[in-house]
Amino acid sequence: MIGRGERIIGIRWIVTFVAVGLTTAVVLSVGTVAERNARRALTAELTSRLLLEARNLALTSSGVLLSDFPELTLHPLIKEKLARQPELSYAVVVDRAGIIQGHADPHRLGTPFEEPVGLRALMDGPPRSAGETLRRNDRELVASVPITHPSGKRLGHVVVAMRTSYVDAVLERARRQQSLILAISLLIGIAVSFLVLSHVLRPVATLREGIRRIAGGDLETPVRVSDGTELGLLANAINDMAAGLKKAQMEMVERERLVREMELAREIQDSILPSERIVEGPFVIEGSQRAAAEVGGDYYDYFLLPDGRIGFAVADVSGKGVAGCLIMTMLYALLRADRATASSPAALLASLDERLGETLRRGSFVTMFYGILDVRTGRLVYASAGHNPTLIYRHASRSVETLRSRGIPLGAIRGGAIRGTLEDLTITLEPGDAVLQFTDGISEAFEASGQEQFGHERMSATLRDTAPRGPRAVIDGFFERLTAWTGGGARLDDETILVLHRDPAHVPAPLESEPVGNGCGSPLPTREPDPGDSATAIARYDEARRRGSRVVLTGTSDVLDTIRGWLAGTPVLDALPARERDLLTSTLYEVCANVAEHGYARDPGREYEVWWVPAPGPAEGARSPRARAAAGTASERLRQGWFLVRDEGVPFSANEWKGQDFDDPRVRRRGRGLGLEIIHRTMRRIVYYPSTAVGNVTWMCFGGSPSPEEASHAG
Amino acid sequence: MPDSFGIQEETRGSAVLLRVRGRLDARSAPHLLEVGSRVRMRGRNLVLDLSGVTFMASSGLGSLLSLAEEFRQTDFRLRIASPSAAVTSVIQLLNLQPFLSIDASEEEALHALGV
Repeated sequence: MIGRGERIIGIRWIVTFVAVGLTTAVVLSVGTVAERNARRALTAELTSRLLLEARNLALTSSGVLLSDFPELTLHPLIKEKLARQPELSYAVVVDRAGIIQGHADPHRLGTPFEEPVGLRALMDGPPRSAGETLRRNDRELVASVPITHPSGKRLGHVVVAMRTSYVDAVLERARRQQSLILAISLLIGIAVSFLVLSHVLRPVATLREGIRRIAGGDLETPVRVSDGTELGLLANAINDMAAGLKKAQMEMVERERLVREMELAREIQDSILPSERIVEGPFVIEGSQRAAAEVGGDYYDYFLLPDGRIGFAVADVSGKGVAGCLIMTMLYALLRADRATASSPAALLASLDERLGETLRRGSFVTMFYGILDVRTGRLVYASAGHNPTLIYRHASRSVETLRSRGIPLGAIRGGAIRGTLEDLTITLEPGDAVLQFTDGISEAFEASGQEQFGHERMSATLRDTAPRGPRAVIDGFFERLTAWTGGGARLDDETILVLHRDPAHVPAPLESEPVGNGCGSPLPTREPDPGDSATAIARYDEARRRGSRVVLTGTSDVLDTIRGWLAGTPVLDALPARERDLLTSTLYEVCANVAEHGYARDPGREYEVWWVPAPGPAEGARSPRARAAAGTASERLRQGWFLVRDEGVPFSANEWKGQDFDDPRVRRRGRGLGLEIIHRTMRRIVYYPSTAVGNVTWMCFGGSPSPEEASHAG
Repeated sequence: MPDSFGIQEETRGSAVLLRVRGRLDARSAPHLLEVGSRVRMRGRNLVLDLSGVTFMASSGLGSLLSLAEEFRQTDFRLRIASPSAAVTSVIQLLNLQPFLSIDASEEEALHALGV
């Protein structure tokens, strides 16, 4: 590439200089030859003229010499001749005796003629007759012609001289004219060749400019050269090259965009797959996926259902890429919408078939397994829509069973044909048993040579070998053996695996970890209930229903009015001092606003409830002022009872509250997260039980704890 | 209705006095934040009279805090005048008094601002 700073020697100039040089050489050579020829011709002409003058004088003199006074005639004749022809230096008529008879100078008449010195004969020149000579010395060209009487008698001779300076002057004039013509020709030649070359080579500059534009990234402006020469072809080639570059560039941008979209699709896919195992009673469920190079349509999911059972699914969407990922995302949303209401796995799959069928393109389908496990009994009800068989490891016999079912894939045949093929099957999982579900990225993984698939036998063996060590060991074992089997190359398909395992050594925990009816008035129990222990939450909810007062709200209730009205109409709470009533109102408002906004997204059709459960005691239910007085002030009783909020919305992670550092100006400027702060500072104890069989349960005891540190110690 | 939210604006010398009444909750807090920010951008000191606030939710408190921080970063000042019990109880609960300049009355607040 030519940089800006480098010197450029233009082709135009090079070619012009060469052309000018050649023209000059040719013109000079031609000029030299022409001059020599002209000189020769001119010299010949002048000598001829000289000879002719001499002959004329000789002819004139032949008659005159025979007269009595020839000098009287010849003197004026010669004088006039010399005056007329200044190039002649002299003309002399000499008689036979060598005496001058005719001369321009009258003093020389009658004197003997002396030949000028240093004369040498001229070899070339016009043809001469007998007696005629042509000679020259440095100064003159001399012609001598005899004067002959008509009788043939010789009378004398004539000598006529011409100045060589005249000859040289004539030749010089001729040479000068010729040089002028040559110079003009040369100039015209140079100018014409420069102009012609400039015109012919002008496209070179255009091409250079075009290439510089392309190098600078401008691929839009074509190089415009309409030229019939190779330069025109070159311009076309450059334009083709720019178009090719532009196309390649666009293809590259498009490829990058696709790669980014794929990455995004992959992130979405990853984000909707469960990230943590579920441990519920003796059961652990865990899944994992190793993604193929291209984003695929494998999907697995598991969750706790509102009634405490575990639902889990594995599905494989036909087709890969963004389309597969979108279907998978849709499946995720539909499954989550239907899971709580479907009466059985087969009913759920049928409902998914109906709803997916509206969207799936013809020829696309989804194979899917869905199972519901009752953790209390170990009963697993499942159905499969054309999905891979389920493998069951039986701990007692250390054997692997294969469960097949006959459902057709979702979306394969429209119009509800799937209903006739789906069936709910039930098995019971005993301690130590494990269930394996997978996608065909596992079973159909080819070995490195591409000859053989991983297959059912190897899967059974792997499950048998690894199941006793729990679900993580099964997953790791499978992935390890698959890597060894395939040789660790790029995966062509997602490898998805889901394992449900029943702990062989699990001893069921007692339902209550503390006396539920204890209330908050008694000293703190030595152990806080495990937030995941939904049995405690259910028991507390049962107790609230037996003894408590409640208010029901929806996603769009006016929380403040409802809470205020409820507090005003509920014994104990109606008698609180203003400050405590305000704090309690604020706190319950924050809890409820949280549920309505984040849990229910302000859905007007969904309800949640707030319970107040006073401490049990002799005064419970007593309405007389005396009995109430015996039970202590309203403030005291408030601290002895507890509140419970039950909702069925999206759970949130309230147990992870750590307190805000208001000394940090950024925290203050953000002004967020203050609701949890209010709740935790007003309530002495808070335990949040997400996703229990009765929904999300928040259990709270009033009694402001002054600092988050203390609050976190308490709960 | 005593609970309905409203802001009454009054100019007092170099300061703007905003009398806030009703509920300061998630619905009204952004409004207060906007009106307050506008005062700051006009280059005025601000007095918020919160005596008429019947209820303050966390979002309302959040808007007070961030408005106070906004003013703290400029040459202008924000003072809270005669907060109602509903406001005071929440501010005290979270120990936020050090970060908010609170006066017992409008006059005191204006006086503190040199008006």
